[in-house]
Amino acid sequence: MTLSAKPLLTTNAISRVFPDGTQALDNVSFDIPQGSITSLLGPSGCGKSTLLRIISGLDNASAGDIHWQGEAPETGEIGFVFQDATLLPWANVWDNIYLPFRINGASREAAKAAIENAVSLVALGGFEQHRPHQLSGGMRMRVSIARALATNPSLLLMDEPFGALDEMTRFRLNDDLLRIKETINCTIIFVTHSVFEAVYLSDKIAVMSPRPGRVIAEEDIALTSRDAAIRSTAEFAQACGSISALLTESEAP
Amino acid sequence: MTIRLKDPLPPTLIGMVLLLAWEGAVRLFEIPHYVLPGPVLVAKALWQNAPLLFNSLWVTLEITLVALIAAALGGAALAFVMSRARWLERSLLPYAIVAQVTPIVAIAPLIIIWVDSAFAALVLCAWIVAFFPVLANTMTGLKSADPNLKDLFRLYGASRWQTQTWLETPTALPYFFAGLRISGGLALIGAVVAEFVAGTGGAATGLAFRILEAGYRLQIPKLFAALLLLSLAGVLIYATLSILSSWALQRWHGNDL
Ligand SMILES: Nc1ncnc2c1ncn2[C@@H]1O[C@H](COP(=O)(O)OP(=O)(O)OP(=O)(O)O)[C@@H](O)[C@H]1O
Ligand SMILES: [Mg+2]
Repeated sequence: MTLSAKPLLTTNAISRVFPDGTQALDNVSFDIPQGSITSLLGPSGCGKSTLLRIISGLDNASAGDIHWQGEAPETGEIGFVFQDATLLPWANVWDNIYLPFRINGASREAAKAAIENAVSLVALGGFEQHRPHQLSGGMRMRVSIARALATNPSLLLMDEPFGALDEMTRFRLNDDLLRIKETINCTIIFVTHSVFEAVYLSDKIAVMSPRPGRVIAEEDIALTSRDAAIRSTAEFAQACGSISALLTESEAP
Repeated sequence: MTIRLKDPLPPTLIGMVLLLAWEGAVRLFEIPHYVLPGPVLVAKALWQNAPLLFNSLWVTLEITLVALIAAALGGAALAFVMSRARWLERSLLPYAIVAQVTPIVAIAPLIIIWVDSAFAALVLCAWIVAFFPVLANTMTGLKSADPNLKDLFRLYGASRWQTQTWLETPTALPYFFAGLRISGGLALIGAVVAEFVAGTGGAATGLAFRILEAGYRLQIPKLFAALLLLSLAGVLIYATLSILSSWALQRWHGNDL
């Protein structure tokens, strides 16, 4: 896709200094194009999670602000997928996905259609009554994604959602995510360590420097197609190579 | 931690051997029965005094159970209230700790003087000993919710009440039950200690009173019989609470917890 669309949000010189003096973010400015998948790519500890938390409103910037195109999203309009599935262990799949609706005061009846839709999006039909401990790690992650999608958020934040999974599962979930993205209308900010994952998924990659994190490059990715075959093409390798080079550069003092 | 007897055969065998050795030793060395009665004599004493002793067992159990239920409700409620506000925790917890660390033997006489009803006085003593583990454990549990889940609740704009009922309370449940199992044993100890302190005044007729009475009268076999029932009561309480807690946790948490 072309990224001529107006940005959904622009971070405006965001810094974050924690009370203990750790500076996690330093003057972070970048755009998130409307409807895109944008990846935040950077070494461990560079402040990617902190940045997502600030965008979601869970944390506050010490300086700088976020400029939203149009209205800032209201409570519940942002979906968040954490690094672990973060499910209620005593609740089954259905009830876990129902949680955001329940908090919002919606009845089970009212939420039913949206939940069924989310369950089928992540291909978990038939597992509604299972509890998290009865599911595999990949399935739990899919529940977590379904929960975030069910409320139809305009912005979906994903913090290394597949980081703990094996490569096979990760590839499959990458494809699932791209397939889901086709059917819904939302902007995704995706945090990852993996250059390959970032290139495969993203319309745009923001490369961050080691702590204190800054965005050192904003690269648009325009692959001719996104499917398993592209992973072995020269085009893909080249895109990965140039992103890797940027990362290595950022690590150099 | 739950101790389950998977195979009851080894402990039963050991028990038989020990009982035989005990009986044998008592006969062999001709130990007088007012020093150490053999198991046969104890069993006989239990049989002869059965109505009296079982009646006393019931009295002790009743005190223990009422105290335990009060400890479960009171401890959990107090933990709940304290977790609502930091200032409440800061102002109440020190007193809970004082009540916990002051030896019950030292307070029991006062309570027995102050409280008219003997039953209520004993229950109060047992309660004071028993409520702290429930309180402390439940408090820990209420604070143990996964930080990511807390963030999730915050993200969706959950109220304090929603977070507490849908996240913190279910998280605290296993902690509560762990506390309750400790409290079960303590409630029994509290009830017995209080009865000992209340002494032979005639008000109390629980097992501790029977032990005291039998001791004064040198009815050592009867004393042993009462002791036996007391241990039995302890085991019974522990087993009941273990079953209750695994049943409840199974329902709430599935079998992984
Ligand atoms: N609450 C906090 N108090 C103090 N320092 C913090 C806090 N949270 C994070 N930090 C620090 O801020 C820096 C950035 O943390 P953050 O979790 O955002 O990194 P990250 O890029 O997500 O790393 P990773 O890829 O390993 O998840 C780290 O050095 C971390 O130690
Ligand atoms: Mg992180």
